[in-house]
Amino acid sequence: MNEQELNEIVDKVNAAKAEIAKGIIGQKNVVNEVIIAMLTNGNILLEGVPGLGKTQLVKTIAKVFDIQFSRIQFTPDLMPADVTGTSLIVKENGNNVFTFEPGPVFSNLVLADEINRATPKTQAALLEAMQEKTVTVGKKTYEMPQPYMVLATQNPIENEGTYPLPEAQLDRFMFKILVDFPTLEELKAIMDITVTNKKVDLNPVMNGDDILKIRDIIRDVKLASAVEEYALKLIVATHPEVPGASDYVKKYISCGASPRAGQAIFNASRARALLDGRFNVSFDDVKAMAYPVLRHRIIPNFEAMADGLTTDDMITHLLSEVQ
Amino acid sequence: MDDKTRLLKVLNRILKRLRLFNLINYILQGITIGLGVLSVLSVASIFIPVPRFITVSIVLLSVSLVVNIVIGIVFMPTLMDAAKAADSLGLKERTASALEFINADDAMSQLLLKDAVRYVEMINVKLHFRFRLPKNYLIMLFCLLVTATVPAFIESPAKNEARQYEEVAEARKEVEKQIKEDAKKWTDTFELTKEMQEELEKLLNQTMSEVKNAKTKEGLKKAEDRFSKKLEQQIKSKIEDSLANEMKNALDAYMKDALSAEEVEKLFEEIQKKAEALGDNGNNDVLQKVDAMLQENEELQEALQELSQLSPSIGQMAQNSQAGQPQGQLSQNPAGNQQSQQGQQQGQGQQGQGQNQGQGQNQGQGQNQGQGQNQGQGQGQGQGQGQGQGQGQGQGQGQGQGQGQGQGQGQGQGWNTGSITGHETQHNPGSGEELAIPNYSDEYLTGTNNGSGNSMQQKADQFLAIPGGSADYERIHAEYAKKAYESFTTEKIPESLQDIIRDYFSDISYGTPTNN
Repeated sequence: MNEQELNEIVDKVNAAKAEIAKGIIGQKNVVNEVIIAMLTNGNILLEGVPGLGKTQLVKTIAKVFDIQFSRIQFTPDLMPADVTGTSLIVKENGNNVFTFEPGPVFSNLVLADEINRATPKTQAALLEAMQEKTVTVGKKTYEMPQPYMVLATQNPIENEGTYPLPEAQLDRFMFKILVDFPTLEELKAIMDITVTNKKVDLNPVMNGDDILKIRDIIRDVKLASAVEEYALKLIVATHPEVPGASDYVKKYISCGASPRAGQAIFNASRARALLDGRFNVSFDDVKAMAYPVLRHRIIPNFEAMADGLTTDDMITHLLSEVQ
Repeated sequence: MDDKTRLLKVLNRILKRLRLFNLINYILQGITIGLGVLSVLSVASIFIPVPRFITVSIVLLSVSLVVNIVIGIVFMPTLMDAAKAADSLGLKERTASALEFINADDAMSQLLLKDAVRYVEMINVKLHFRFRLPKNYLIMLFCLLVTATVPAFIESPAKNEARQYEEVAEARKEVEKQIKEDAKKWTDTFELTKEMQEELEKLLNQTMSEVKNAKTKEGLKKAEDRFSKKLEQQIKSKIEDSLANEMKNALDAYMKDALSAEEVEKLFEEIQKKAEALGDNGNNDVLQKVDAMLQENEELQEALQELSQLSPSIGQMAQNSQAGQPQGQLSQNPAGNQQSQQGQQQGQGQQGQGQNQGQGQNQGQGQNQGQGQNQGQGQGQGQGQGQGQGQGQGQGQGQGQGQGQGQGQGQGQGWNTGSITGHETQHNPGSGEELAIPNYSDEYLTGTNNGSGNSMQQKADQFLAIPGGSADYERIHAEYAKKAYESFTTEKIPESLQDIIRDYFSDISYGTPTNN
C-alpha cells in the first residue's frame, strides 16, 4: 500500500460519511463509530429511545456500502430458527430432501431490532453468528457472507417484558453506541427530509470488497508501545479486584472489561487513526474509542446506580486517572 | 537524505535543547530546594542556636545543587523523549511511533516515517522549544532568597549561643588533636605493655568523651589537664618503673657476666632515649628510681661505677641526669669551682693520735662525673682531691675539704647522685633514711657517724645544687599521707582507689600512718 491508496481509502470513507449524512441528520459520532465497527469486523449494539432513526441508519449504511441488508424484529415469540433459518423437506428430482433455508441472519448487515424483547434462547441464536461468523443448523455449519455485521438495537426505557442481554452476549458487541436525541437544527433537518416530498437519493460509495480490503490495512496501522501500554492500563483499571485498583473503581464497579475489550479498543483505535489519515494510533484514538468499547463491558454496582453514575461517567474518570 | 536521517536530524536538535533545559530545570530545582531549606534554617536560627550557620547554608545549597545536577545528568532526556516532545505540539504520536518503527521496512512503517518527517520538519525548534522561566517561579525564588538572607542579619541570643558553640568546637578540635598527638607520642616512643596500652586507650577514650561532652572552653581545658595528669601519674610512672627495672636488670646481667659492657651501654642508650622522651624531667625521675634501687644493692653500685668508667654512654647518662640540675651535685665538675663536701666526713679517732683519714667517694650523674678520694692527714685536718671527667671537656677537678676534730679515726663515704628534678639522695653509712625535699632549704642533714664520732651538720643548700635539703622521712610521709587523706573529702575519689592510697601510705610507712 502506498500513500495514494491510503488517500483513496480515506476519500472513499469520507465520501461514504457524506452520503450517509444525506439520509441521517446529525449523529456524526454514531455514524463514525458504526463505520469504524464495520471496518474492524465488529458488531454494534445501538441504544436509544424509539424514533431516533436507528433503523434508518442501518438501512442507509447498507445502501451506501452497497451490501445486503436484512432486518429481524425481535419479539418474545421469535424462535431461533426464525433467525438462523431451518431445514425444509423439498422435492428434488422426485426425491424428498432436506434443504437448508437460510434465515435473515444470512446477510452482510443484520439489523436485530429491539433485541432485548426476544427470549434469551433466540438472543443466543445470534451469538455464533456474531462471534464466529457461522451458523450451525443440525450437523452442518454455514458461513456468513463477508463482510458480516450485526447491528442490534434496544430501547432503554421500556423494560417491561424485556430480556436484558446477558454480559456474555453483550461482550460480543464491539461497540455499544448511544443514539442521542438530535439538536434543534438536526431535528428541523430531519423534518425537512421526512415530512416533505423531498427525496433523498443515496448512492453506493463503497462495496463489500472495499470493506474487506480496508480491514486488512487497518491491522497494519502502527501502535506505539506507549499507546499500547496506555490502552492496556485502561482495560486493567476497570477491574476493582486487581492490586492497585483505585478507590473509585472499587467503590463503583462490580465487574471490569474483558480482554476482548482490549482487542476491540486496539482495532477501533487503528481504524479511527486510518480514517483520520494517519498510520499510527494516538492517545486520542484510544480515549475516543474507550467509550463505545467499555460502555457495555463495565458493570456498575448498586452504589454507582444509587449515585446516579453512568458507565460513561466512570470511563471519563478512568481516562483522567490512567496516565 | 532519507526519511530516517531527516527525522533523526530534527529530533537530535530538539534533544539538545531538551537536555539543556532539563539541566537548567534541575539546577533551578536544586537552588529552590536549597533556598527553601535555607529559609527554614535561617528563620529557625533566630530562635534556636544553629552552629556554623554559614557553613551549613553553603553545604545545604551545594548538596541540593549537586544532587539535582546529578539527577539531571542521570535522567537526561532520550531521543524518544524528544519525539514525545515533538508529538506534544499536536502531532498525535506520529513522531514517537515513527521513531519506534524507524527500522521496520514494511509499507505502513515507511508511510508512517514519511508522514512523521513531513510533520516534524514543520516544527521550528528554536521557536517551539524555548526555555521559559515562569513569572511565578521567579517571584517564589526571590521570596525564598529574601527569607533565607534577611534573618541572617538579625541578632538574637540563640545566635550568640551558636557562636559560642562554634568557638568551643574549634577549641575542641585543637584539644582532641593535642591529646591524640600526646597519646601517639607515647605509643610510638615506648613499647607499652598490653596493660599499659589498655590503660592508655581507656584514658584516651575517657578523655575524648569528656572533651566531646565539654560545653565550654574551661571544660575542655580541664579535660586536657586531667588527661595530662593522669598520663603523668599512670602511664609515665609505669614506664619509668619499667625503664628503671630495665637498667637494673642490665646491671644485674652485667654483674653476672651475662651482658658485656657494650651491651649494657647499648641498653642504657636506648633507655636514655626513652627516658628523655618521657619529658624534660622524666630522665631524672627514672634515674631517681634507679638510685633507689642501687642504694639497696652495693654490687649494682659498683657495676655502675665500673660501667661509668668504661662506657662513655653510661657516663653520658650520668651527665644527662645532672643536666636537670642547675648547679650539679658532684664533688667535682669541669669548672672545678665547687667544693664537694658530701663525701667528706671528719671523724675523731678514739685513740687520739691525731690522724684522721677521710675517704669520700662521690659520684654524680649529670654533666660531670667525678670521683674523688680524699685523704687527710694531720691533726684534725684532711684534704681530699678529686678528679672528675666532664663530657667532652676533658677533665674537671674538684676539691673537697673536710675538717675533723677529735680523737680517733673516722671514715666517711658519700654517695651522691643527681636526678633530673634536682632531688638528691645521700647515703651515709650508719645514718637513717633521708628524704630529699627540694623546697626545704633550711633543713640540715642528719648523719651519724658510726662509732662514737661526731657527725657534722651542714646546711643543705651549701652543697645541694638546688634549693632544698633533706628532711625526716616520717615527717614527710606523715604530711603526704595527710594531704592524700584530706583529698578524699575534697575530691571525688572512688572508694576502691581510696583503699589503694591508704594501703600505699601504709606500705611505705616506718611507723603507723597518720590516718585522718
